[in-house]
Amino acid sequence: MKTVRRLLVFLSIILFAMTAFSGCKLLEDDDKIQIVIWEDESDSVRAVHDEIIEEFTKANPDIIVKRTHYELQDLKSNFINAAMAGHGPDLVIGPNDVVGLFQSGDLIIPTEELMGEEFFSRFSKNALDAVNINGKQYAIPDRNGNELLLFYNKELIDKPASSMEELIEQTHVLKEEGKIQYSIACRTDEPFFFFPFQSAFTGGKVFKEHTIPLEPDLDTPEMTEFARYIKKLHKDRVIPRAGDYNVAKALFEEGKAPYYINGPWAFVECDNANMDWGVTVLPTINGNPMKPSSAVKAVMVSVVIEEASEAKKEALIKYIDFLTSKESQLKLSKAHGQLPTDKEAAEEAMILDPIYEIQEAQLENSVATPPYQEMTKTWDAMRDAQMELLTGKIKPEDYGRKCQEKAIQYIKDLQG
Amino acid sequence: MRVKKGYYNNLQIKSAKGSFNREKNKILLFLIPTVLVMLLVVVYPLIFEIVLSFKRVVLQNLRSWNWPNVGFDNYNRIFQEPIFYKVLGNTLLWTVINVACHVFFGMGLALLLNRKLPGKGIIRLILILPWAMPEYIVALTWKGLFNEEFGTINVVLKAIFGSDAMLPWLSDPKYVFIASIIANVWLGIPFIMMVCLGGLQSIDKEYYEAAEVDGASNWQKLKNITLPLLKPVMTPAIILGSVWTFNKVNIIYIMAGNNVSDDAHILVTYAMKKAFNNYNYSYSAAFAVIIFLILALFSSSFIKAQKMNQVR
Repeated sequence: MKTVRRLLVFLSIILFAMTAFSGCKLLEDDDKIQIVIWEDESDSVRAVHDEIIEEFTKANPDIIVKRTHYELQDLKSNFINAAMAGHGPDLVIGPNDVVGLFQSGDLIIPTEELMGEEFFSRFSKNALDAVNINGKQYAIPDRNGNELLLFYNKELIDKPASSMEELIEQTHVLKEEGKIQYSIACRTDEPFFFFPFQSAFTGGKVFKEHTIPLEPDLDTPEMTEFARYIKKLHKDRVIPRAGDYNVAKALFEEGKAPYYINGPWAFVECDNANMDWGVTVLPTINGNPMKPSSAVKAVMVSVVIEEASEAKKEALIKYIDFLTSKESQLKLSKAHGQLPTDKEAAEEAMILDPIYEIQEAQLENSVATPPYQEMTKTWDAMRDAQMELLTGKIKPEDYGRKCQEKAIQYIKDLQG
Repeated sequence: MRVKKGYYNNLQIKSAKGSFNREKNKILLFLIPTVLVMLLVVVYPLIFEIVLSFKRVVLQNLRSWNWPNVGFDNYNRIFQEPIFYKVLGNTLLWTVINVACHVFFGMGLALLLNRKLPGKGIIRLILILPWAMPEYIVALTWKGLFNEEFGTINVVLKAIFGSDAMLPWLSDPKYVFIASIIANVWLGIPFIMMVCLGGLQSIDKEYYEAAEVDGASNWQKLKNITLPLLKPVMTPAIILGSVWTFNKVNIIYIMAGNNVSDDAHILVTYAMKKAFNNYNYSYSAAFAVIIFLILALFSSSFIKAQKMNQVR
């Protein structure tokens, strides 16, 4: 019994010591500068980031780069909590509507303060504009697009439709033959995926013009028309009854829907599914183009850097320069499928792969996502209203009003 | 040596007192770490939250620590918004249904297990499994089962009743609520079952033998012996179960994700949404204080009512 007790005491001491010292670094790491990055990238893009990190750290052995992955919602809340406490990452990689959110809380710094004005001359102007708030570059864009495209299964569709009317007719025949379940596989839980349908009626307008802060303008007859249209598509099983990202992906990959609305990040997934697939621009509705929301993904610099040493800032400048260089952007582009923002890289990418021309064509017919925090809250409002519309809780006539009320409420919540 | 009368008595008393004080000091010494942890982890955050609820704290001014006092504005806003009463109603419904199902099914299973059954050990092990599984995994699993296109439940419904029978489990707030209740009932039965089983096994068999002699039926035995003698054990379990269920975030949050309409929320998930989606921290703190007061009132009323019943 005594021996057992001694053993238990000994084990407790060991366990306590391990817990107490678990936060300690290796002595040899004390001399190195550490850069911490948080991101919400897909699997394939993360793998490329790791290659870039390895290459950079080989060339700069006195710098360690650590990458942590979060889903977008967790990335937002974790970063806010960490930055509030003066900790957290040095860099955050996320979509541009998040830039506005972080900027409103003074959680990120204008990148010109760190990188200098000259650095930005190699980026495309529209990509820089997407992360420009009040005349300052609050992030460095590393890919342009995020636009939705129309994928199609070549085994079921010979020639992709150029209009929704043609698409519905084409797929009606396939449904009669029992070959498919739905016409288009797309997410029904995110307003981002319904935005192209919405834009065919509204022209992509979400906010009133020339208002700062942005004021939503969603309670319009055009929104009612859109709501009626999407409700009909839902009722006629043109789009799934309900589906998140994985459901939509499975429907397309299993051949239950010949068309698929998704973004360039799905190129690698379709390749991995061993499908014979093609991609084209989104069709028209009643002659009006479906315009997806386009955005950039960007590298943001946390406010904690303001207190960092000069050596750390130098290291960060080096890494950002390396990460957004032409070579790194081309590597990343193969994984995420979007156009690089470095002008030379973009030209080279378009020569190498015709898929980028299709993206360029769609981008010309897209609506740029404003980087302001009001956009994030408007997406939240449209998400809530969309779910209520599809489940029959509200009528199409009330959809615009509901979006407007919720958007105003959520923006008011932000302001307190 | 001549000693005073009562000297040895006084000596014994002093010695006893001294030993008692030493004992008391030892007890206090062991309690200090726990008290410190409670102060840091419970009392300080509670006070901080109450203070926060009287200020205006949003993302824009969070970092500056410049938080103006707004008095009862947050509370006024909460009580004036119709959604508060909707989520309060949801929460009460959620708690009552869950706890009632936990007690009904838990007690029922405990009564079954309290008999001679072949393979009782294995049956008990299987019934405890939900309790042993991490809640997060359970919620994710049920979410998969309720998936509208590929989930087992809708696949079975479609096979039996046709595709119109498939239900929007994770998109319609009404069905999100029902799906969450089903998952949470499954999760919570083992706890009540084990508490009940322990209570049943502590009831003296002589009571049942005496009742048997008096010709009591099974129902009479249950009503007059089992239930009254289980009350001291079940009361704290029901209070705990109610408080836990009232504050259960995981199931609804994971089942519905960010896509649930406000109508499917309970108080605590709505407060979370306000804090971490809408970044209105002081409003969310006021919500949390209201939840705390509701639960404190419930717990003290319940215990008082039980004590009065016992006195009668």
